[in-house]
Amino acid sequence: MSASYRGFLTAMLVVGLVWAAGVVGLFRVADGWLYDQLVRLPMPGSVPDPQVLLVEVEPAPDAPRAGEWLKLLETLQMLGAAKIVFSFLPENAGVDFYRHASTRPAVLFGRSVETTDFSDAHGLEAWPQASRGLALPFGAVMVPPAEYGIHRRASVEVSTNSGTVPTLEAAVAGMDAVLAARQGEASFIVNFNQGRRWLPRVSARRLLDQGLVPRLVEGRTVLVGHKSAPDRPGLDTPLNAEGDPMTLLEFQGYAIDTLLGERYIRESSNVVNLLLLGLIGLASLFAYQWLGLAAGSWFTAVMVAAYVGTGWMVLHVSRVSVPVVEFITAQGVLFWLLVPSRLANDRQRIRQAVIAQAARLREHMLPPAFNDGGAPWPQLVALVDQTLELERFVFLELVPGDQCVRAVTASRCSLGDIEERERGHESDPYRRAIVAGMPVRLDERPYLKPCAECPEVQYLVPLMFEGKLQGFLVFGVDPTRVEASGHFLEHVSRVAVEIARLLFQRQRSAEEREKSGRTLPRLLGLEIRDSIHSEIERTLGTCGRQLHATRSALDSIATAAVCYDLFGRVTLLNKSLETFLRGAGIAAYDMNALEFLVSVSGIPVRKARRMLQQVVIDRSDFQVPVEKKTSEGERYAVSVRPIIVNEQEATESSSMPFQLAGIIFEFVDVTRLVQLLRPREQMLERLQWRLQNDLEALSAASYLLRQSAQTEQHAEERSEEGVKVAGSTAIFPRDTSRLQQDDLWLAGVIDEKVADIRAALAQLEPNLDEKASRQETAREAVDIQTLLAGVIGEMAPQAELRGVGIEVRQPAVVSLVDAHPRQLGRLLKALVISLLSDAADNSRVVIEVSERDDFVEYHFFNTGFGIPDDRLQAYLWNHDHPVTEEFRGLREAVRPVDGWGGEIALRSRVGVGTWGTLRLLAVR
Amino acid sequence: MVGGRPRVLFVDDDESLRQLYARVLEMAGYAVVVGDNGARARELFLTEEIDLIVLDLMMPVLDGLGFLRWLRQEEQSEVPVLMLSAVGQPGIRASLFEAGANEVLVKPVGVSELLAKIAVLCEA
Repeated sequence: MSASYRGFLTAMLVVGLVWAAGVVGLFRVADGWLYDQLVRLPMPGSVPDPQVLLVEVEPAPDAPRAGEWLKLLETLQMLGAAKIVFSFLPENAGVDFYRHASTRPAVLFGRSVETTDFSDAHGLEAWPQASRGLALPFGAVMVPPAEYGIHRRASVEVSTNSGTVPTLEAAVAGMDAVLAARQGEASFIVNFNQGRRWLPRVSARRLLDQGLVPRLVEGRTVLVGHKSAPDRPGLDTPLNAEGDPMTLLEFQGYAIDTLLGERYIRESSNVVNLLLLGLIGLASLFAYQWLGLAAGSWFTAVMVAAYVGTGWMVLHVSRVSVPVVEFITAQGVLFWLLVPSRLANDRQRIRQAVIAQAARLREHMLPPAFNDGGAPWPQLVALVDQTLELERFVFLELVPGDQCVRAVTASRCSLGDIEERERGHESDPYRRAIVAGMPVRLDERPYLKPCAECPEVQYLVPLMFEGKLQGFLVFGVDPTRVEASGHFLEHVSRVAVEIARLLFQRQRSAEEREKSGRTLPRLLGLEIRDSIHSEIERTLGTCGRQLHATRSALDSIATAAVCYDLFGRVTLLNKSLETFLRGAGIAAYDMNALEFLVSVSGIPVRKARRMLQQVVIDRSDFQVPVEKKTSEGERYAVSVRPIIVNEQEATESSSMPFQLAGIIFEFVDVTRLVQLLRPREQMLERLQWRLQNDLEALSAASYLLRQSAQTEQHAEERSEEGVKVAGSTAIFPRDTSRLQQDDLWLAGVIDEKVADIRAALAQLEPNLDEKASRQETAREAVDIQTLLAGVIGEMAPQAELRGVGIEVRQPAVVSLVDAHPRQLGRLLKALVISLLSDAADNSRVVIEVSERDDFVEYHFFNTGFGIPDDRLQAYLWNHDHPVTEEFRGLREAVRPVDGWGGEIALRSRVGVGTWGTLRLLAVR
Repeated sequence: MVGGRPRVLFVDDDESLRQLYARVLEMAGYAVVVGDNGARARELFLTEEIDLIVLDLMMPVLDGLGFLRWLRQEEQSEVPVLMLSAVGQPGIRASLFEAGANEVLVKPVGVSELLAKIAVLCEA
């Protein structure tokens, strides 16, 4: 069977077999039983009007007497009965009764079919004497056919000695109705859907004595027959559960009503059944492909309930009997065959995938395996080469099954350099080395040929682990090195033990492999199928060891580090960082990368998000200072960078968006750097403070000088005019000499402050140069919005004093810009000060922000006094041009813009004001 | 008030600045008392009738912020205080306002601006 169509073919085979079994009648008992159950569940809603009235003839003495039969007949005719059917031939009826009946075409009689004792031929009951010579319509009366004791069908005809005779039911309903009901068979299914007691019934005695309501009889076929009696056993029908077995009369009533009301039950044809089973097969095939065992069981149960429900509904609504049992059987068999088969397939695939993946993982985790690969010696040579400083060395291994050793590999010499002839490891020098359990010096009998150009001493060390000898290492070493380090031989011993351990484990692994390769012992030990377990065990062990090694390596790194994946989860966190975060009260596991960055650096969320965006989208890295200090006062900077995976790894694992395995936050201890810079910063702060104080003093002195000069001028004017001012209200009522003293004092203050400033500048010069160069290289992504907001906040009181409003029009989100933060802050402040100084009182300074191409643009303008534009340009760009104090700061501040790859242009016009544009490279 | 003139307590550890501003304030019509640190200012405040205090931030013994907190919290005084600071970081400004400063100016202030602020605070 082709594997591709195995499921389909299985389903179709099941469908075919179930259908065939149904056709041959294997499900007849179960179908009949289920049919009976469905019949007994009535359909709620309107009940059809029965077409038959049963008139029960009681046994004597209540049976009609001879003369009453005619009265019965006439009464029924008078009440409007459509047909009057006697299911028997009344024995005691008179000639007038039969004669009257013969004149009425709607009166029929039932004649029992009698079987002779010696043949299968059927004879009909003989007519009574009173009816002789009359042509009376009749039908045969017989016990209806039964299926396993249950009577569900009524016959339409019966073979007698005198030919085929229609049954009473067929004779009453007429051949057209019979043809519709019988479906090519000699019987039809009687409709019991309305339940027991549905057909109205009256006793013949009551009819004769009290009469009947015409409505009960009018238009109905009246079936007159015997009531149940001990000598007339009833019939078992689908309605048995609702009462006693049915009388033949009642059964005939249901049968006639079925025909007359065209309420016959049809059975779905074999073709339709096959189609329905086919549909079930296909639906199950698809459903069980997707569902597991539990879901498949539920699906099966639901489908079974659906079949029963549908069967019931179809029976009552469309009066069609469908083979529900066949459907249920097909469903069950399909479930039983398809689900386990699919699960077995899944298990097989998982097994193969696990084994393949395990092998692949092990390949990734370990270099060509020491235990599994070929010769281990090249790896051991590399190990010794990296660990010990030897002149030359040779490895000797044991010859299996012999007491000998053989040289296998040599480093910085050849196997031909071996001079020792003794190979038996029970003899010296091997014996001596084994007993010593450490390197023994080979002075008397060198193992290797002497080397002229390299003075050395030779040693032999056994490779022993757990008392088992694995081989020997012979080496030559510079004697001075042995003497210089008191632990040299001890180190060699430890390396020898490690090598012996590796060789021991390798040997054991080889033995296990060999053992596991033997099928018979595995078969006997029920181990033949456990390869998947051992694969997983081996791989998990390898992964665990590798993970442990990785974690240990990460922990041993002094740098605190945490890795987040791009979904914001911590994937790795080393011990250093755990300690740091515990001290700082930060729970990294409860945060995503963004929250973590904000928490440790204290930068605004928006800025942090942009920085992470840089890392994820642009794959660039950045550093920010950590806000919190440790309890020991250590200062950290956090370096954030992406963990980039190669394209193949990213494709294999779709959970690595942007080809990134995550983001690593590395905490760099900058305490020492901060400590180094702190005195310098403090000195700069002190100098700044002194300069500010001095400038304040100069400003005050200048103010006083101007006041003094004005006072002097007033005095001179008054002197020239010869006006004598007595009790002057001047602020400084001083004489000339006093004025001179004041001036001299002020001049002294100014001189002193200028000297102070010079000294400060001289001190500052080297630092400024260094600082400037450092700052130039320290460009970063700057949040200009925050900077501008700070500057505006700072200048707000000044603007308020003059009634100048500062209006910033900017989009909700502005890109970070490429600049030096402090220099940019200075530039913004200088710009705002210039615009404010130039602005007219009660006017507005407007700053508009927009982004175009790769730039963030700041357009600003005021309504102010303005200055000639050529003078402004000279102030800004001509460094030889004398500049006022107001513009000096601005001239200095605009200088670095060019270096950031940005542009600045300022214009001014007298009477209009000042305007300009600052363009800075956006960082996206 | 001294003869209808508001009395200003000017506190700064720079002697030149103290003398200069004493002159400037006197010229502008104020009576001036000077102190060279926060502790001295505390003594002067308790012994003199002061209408306005101009206070430097960084001073020895007791700095401007310490004096300001003492004035507002212990003395519960509402005398206007104008702080002069040599450092202009927003954090420090906020701390000073929070401690009860009525105005904070960053040096070099300029005489005109200082006088304008003092005038506003005295009128208030």
